[in-house]
Amino acid sequence: MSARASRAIEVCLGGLGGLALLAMMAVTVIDVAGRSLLDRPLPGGFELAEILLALMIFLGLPLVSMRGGHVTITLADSWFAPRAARLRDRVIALGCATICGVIAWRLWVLGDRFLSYGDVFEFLPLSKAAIAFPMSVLAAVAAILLVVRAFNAQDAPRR
Amino acid sequence: MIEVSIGFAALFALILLRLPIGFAMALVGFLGIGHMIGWRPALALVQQITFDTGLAYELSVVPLFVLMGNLVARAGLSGELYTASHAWLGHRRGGLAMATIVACGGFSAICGSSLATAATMAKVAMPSMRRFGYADSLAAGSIAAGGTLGILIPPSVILVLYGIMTGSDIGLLFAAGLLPGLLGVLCCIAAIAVITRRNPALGPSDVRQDLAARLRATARVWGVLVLFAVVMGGIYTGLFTPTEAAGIGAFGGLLFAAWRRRLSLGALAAILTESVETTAMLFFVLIGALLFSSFVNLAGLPDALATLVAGLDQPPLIILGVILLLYLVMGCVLESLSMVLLTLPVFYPLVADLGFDLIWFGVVVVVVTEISLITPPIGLNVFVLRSVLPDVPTREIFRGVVPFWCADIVRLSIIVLVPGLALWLPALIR
Repeated sequence: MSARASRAIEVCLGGLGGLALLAMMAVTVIDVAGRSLLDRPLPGGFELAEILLALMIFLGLPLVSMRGGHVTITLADSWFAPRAARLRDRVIALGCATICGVIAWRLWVLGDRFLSYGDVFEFLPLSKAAIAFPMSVLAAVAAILLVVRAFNAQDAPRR
Repeated sequence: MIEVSIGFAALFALILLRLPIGFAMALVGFLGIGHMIGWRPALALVQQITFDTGLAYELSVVPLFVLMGNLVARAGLSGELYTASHAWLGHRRGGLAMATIVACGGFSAICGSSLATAATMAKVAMPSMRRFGYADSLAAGSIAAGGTLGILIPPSVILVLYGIMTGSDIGLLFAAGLLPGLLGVLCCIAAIAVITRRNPALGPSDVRQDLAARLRATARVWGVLVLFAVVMGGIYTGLFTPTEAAGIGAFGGLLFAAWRRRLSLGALAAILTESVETTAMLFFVLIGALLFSSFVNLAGLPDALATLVAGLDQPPLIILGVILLLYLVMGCVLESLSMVLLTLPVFYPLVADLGFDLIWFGVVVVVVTEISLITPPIGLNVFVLRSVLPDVPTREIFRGVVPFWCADIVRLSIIVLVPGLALWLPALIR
């Protein structure tokens, strides 16, 4: 993948994720301030925080996956010759892609179910599917980026 | 039980093959559950755990505490902490290393992560210790060891996760961590005093500063104190919950960084992205651990262990000792967060059964985790230092860490044998 494309993904997903995080902070501050100063808590504040959290994590997933930033153990690294290590990293990336793919698939199924059962949040007038579908799409994006990573030979693994 | 053994073997094999830990736990957990109760329920569990963990309100503390730490570091509070502790301790033998430990302890009070504490303090303390001719081993060792305090002195990401997984009160857990954390500071200082007495060349002393200079330097750390007081005070006066405290703390960090004019739009964006990535990384370890522990529970490991232990007919303290020994061994090969997430579902029912206090056990687990952070060959804090200080060899850092490791073992024994140390403050609050 070109440096430009990966930079664009980084700015886009990182920006949205950062906004979600800022919003999460703002929701808490407004909720606490409203409750203690004005005696008027933010209705559905915690639910909003939950939704933002879920979106933020799944916005982060493609970013972490793209640069191989997941927590790994490097204990056995010296057992692999450079070529074997490269092969191993490709297989691992494809394995991770599969797992992200399964997560994407299952979240989509879940979203479908939310839609057909008409599941909405407790306080917010919003279908739970409206969160499950974006989560699913982002997991799929992570899967695609991992496949790209698997076929990108120059991409040296980082810590 | 055979399923569990195969599961653990497969898990370690996959981890060694460098499959990310979270994914490895998820995969093995999923296959195990599928094998035991069928693929349809296993797939259903995947979506349920992923969705529920993503939307778990209590877990919102993780990104917010991470953000708070990043913002506070950006605001330069870490440098002021170091300057202040240097003013008081710098004239002693090994005083700069002692100052590093104290500054780490102070930074831990506004940061919930050990890696962030070590990385932040390395940038502040290392240059000054180098300038005074400190041995790299002592300098890096004290940063790595001091950094581990980040997860014991509240706020603490690991204590929050412990609280969530065991259903313990997070406010009480935070209170319980404070005194053992201070004990940790004292133990590390003692370790430095001992090694520099034996070999003064390791850590030469600086000139003594007068009282006025000391007070001036101390007065500058008010920012840290205010932030800590607001976050903890808010929790204990009931103004806000521990979950909300993270949001308030992050907001405080934001205000500080902005007020100090350290926060350009670009810097803020970088800090936010970094926090998002760290959180995503942590959550996928968590999701994997939850799947794996469902499998382990389903396979009956906790019950089997409880039966086994009951059959041993040993006093609880001996059994606890064995559990802690297991933690120390696992700490050599596992990353700390995964270790806690992986072992808690197995050990905590057992420990509860033995009649131990679960708040106290939380502190014990965190101290053991701290030790694992500096235990070779996978001491994550040491690797963080490696990335901040690329010219210091890993071997040198590990050599420097040894005395602190010994001090930590002493501290662990004290905390285990004197539960009151951890439980006194929570009892006052409760």
